Amino acid sequence: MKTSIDDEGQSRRTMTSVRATGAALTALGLTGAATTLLLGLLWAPAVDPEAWNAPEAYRILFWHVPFAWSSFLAFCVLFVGSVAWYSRRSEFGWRLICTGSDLGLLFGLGVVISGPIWGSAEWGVPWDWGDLRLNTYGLLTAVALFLVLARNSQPEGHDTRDTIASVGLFGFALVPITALATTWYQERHPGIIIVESEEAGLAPEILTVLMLGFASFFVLFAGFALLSDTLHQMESRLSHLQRLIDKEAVH
Amino acid sequence: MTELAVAYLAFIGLIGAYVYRLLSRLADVDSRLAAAENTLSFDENE
Repeated sequence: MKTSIDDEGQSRRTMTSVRATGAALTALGLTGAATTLLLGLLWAPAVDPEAWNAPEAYRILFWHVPFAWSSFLAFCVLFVGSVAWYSRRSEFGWRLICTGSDLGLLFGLGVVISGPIWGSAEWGVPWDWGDLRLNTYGLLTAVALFLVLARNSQPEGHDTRDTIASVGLFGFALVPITALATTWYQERHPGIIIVESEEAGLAPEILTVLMLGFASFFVLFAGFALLSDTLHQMESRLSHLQRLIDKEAVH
Repeated sequence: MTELAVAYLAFIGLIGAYVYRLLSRLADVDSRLAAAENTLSFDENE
């Protein structure tokens, strides 16, 4: 018992260190995101009013696009976790599923809320039911919502984890379809503006702010992922200790 | 401009709510974990 508690003390110290790193990365990411927002609003030039219906509303994209990329990262984490859970029943895999679904929902909601606001201004309609990317992305966010609700409402156990991991694998299948939808089947959503910057006619300042946004949200994502993983690890340890206390009370 | 304000308020609200919830849960679980560890080490000393 003593050794077990010592091991747990060591594990707790590791968690404290990971938590501090997560908090630092989160603070750095939030600072970068705030800088991106300020530069996007104050420094990035206006776009050609002849080419855009709502030239000012384009500034929504400085956070919308990094949010979308972060959500794809979250679904990659979810996929790795689902595979790890299925192949080895790994506790780490389950924690990745928890973190991936939480962050997938956070960043997915940001995209699904801000996209229609920009669409209303630029296209005149908030949503296009004929556009592949919009609809597969909406489905992807719905998958994340399902996973978070299922985790919080279903009894803890291998059966529940199996179901959630299988839905997570299905969700990941939508990621390449959504990411490449504008190349394969473009209806209304704009194409890949970073790669096609020459054709899109984006000013270098706009690209700079977008790249700063990507870097900042990547750091923010890493910070959130570390903090979320620490939380799930602590919850798991708490359940373990509570079982030990219950066992001691019985004997 | 209204669209910009609404969109960024939504973004900031989402991130703020997530950070608040994450930090609150971390603090809560941390205190419960410390209490559970104290209980176990107290039992061990007895």
